[in-house]
Amino acid sequence: MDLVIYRLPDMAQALAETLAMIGVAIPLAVLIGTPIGIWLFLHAPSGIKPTPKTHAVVSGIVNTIRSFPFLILLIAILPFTQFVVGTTVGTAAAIVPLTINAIPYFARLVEQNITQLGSGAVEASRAMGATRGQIIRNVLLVDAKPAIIGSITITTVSFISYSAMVGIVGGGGIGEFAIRYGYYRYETSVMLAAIVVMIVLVTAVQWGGTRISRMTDKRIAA
Amino acid sequence: MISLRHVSTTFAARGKEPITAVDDVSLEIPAGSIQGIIGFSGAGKSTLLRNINLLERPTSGEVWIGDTEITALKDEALRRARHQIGMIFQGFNLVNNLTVAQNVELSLKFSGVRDKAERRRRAAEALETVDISEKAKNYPAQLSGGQKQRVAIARALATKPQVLLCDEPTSALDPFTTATVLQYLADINREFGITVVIVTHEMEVIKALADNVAVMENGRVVEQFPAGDLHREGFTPTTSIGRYLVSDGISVNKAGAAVSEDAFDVVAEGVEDYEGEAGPEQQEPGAQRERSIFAAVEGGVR
Repeated sequence: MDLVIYRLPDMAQALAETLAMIGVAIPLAVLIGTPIGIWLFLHAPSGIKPTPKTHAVVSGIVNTIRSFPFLILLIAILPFTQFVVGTTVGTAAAIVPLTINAIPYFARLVEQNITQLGSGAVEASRAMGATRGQIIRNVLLVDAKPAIIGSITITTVSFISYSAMVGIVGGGGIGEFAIRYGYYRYETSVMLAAIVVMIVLVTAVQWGGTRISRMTDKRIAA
Repeated sequence: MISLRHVSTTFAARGKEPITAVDDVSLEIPAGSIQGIIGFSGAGKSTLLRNINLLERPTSGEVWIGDTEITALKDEALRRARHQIGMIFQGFNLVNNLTVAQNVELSLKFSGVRDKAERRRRAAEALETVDISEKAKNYPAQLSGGQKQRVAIARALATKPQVLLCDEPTSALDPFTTATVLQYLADINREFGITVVIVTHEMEVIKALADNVAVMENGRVVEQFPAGDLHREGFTPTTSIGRYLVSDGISVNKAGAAVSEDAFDVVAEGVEDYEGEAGPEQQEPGAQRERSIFAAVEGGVR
């Protein structure tokens, strides 16, 4: 217990690093992944504006990035990381691979969210003479909003876990903290404390996400 | 008003025989009339309806509305033409995360009404037309099927279209609600002079609402007659499919004999016989009786 208290300042810093990584990577993934997800939906062979060849290329890139084990992706894109943030170590450097990995992950989820809506409202909108942009803004994103919020929650939780692996580039974070002190130094109590913090963090994210998603969902009679 | 000239629509699936959903259909629909299109599932009636606003572009042939050849339009021009063509669907197709009022405003937004206050005013007006103003702030999930369809009608009407296309609008509704919805369509047709095209598999719907009816089978219009004929004693459609649809009866062959095209004739004839014996009461589901049902419904609703 004393050991846990002794490590508390370190743990607080590690938690701050995790929050920083997730706080930057997830919003970026949402910002970039959402349009990609919508694009994948629209241009699919069965979509509103089918472009099968380009779709196959984009879909292939998304699949390729998603196929990489995270640890290998992390190392493979080090030159790119160097180019973007000017360094390959530290929390800032860890954000780059996390984001790169999260973008296609989130894009696929958004694509699913929209595909599952069914085509009824889109068809009605086409009959009303709506442009594609109007359909996306006023129909697809509106009806998919609760599901997309659910996807943000899932992505956040997954990447809290992924962020534990960025210790390899000195990224820090609560997961890396647990590995460093708890696993390598056999400080079991410290490891357990770190895991409890992670459980609390994940639970809070999931609880908040579910709540917001439900609040925005009007598809079920209240 | 609406003129379909040798319209054909073929769906080509890779590696499969192309399917001709609509096969050389020509149809004239007078302005302000209610045109019924009836047939079984797969007869091509929905595709034909979707040919009118080019949700499904015909493979060949021309579609005219007034002086505009719809089939010649593209992109922006087509979208503008669609602002003048309302459409309602079997599944209502409302946006579930928007309120009733927001759903109706959508059609105005899409048709380029920029002023929010005007959109709100016109949406309220359209909701008033179908007597559902009190649900303006509700979400679709809180409404019954009939109410949803009325919202869809309001959405289609808000832009003041010249044409209203109805794709099986009552197929998901019970008979009473069906009567209510059909009454609104009749009112709208009369009050605003909107040309209505309604696709259905129920002859009752045609009988209650339509001025003219086209019977479809295998992508072709095989028969046309004034819907008023349906109220005439001893009226018999010339095609077997027409007779079957008029019989309006579901028959199950419990003996297990193969159902063939001829079976339709037998069933249809059987029903004709039945109708022949039924006496004046049964034979007069005519205009007066239909109207009186609606009067009762109307009285209840308003």
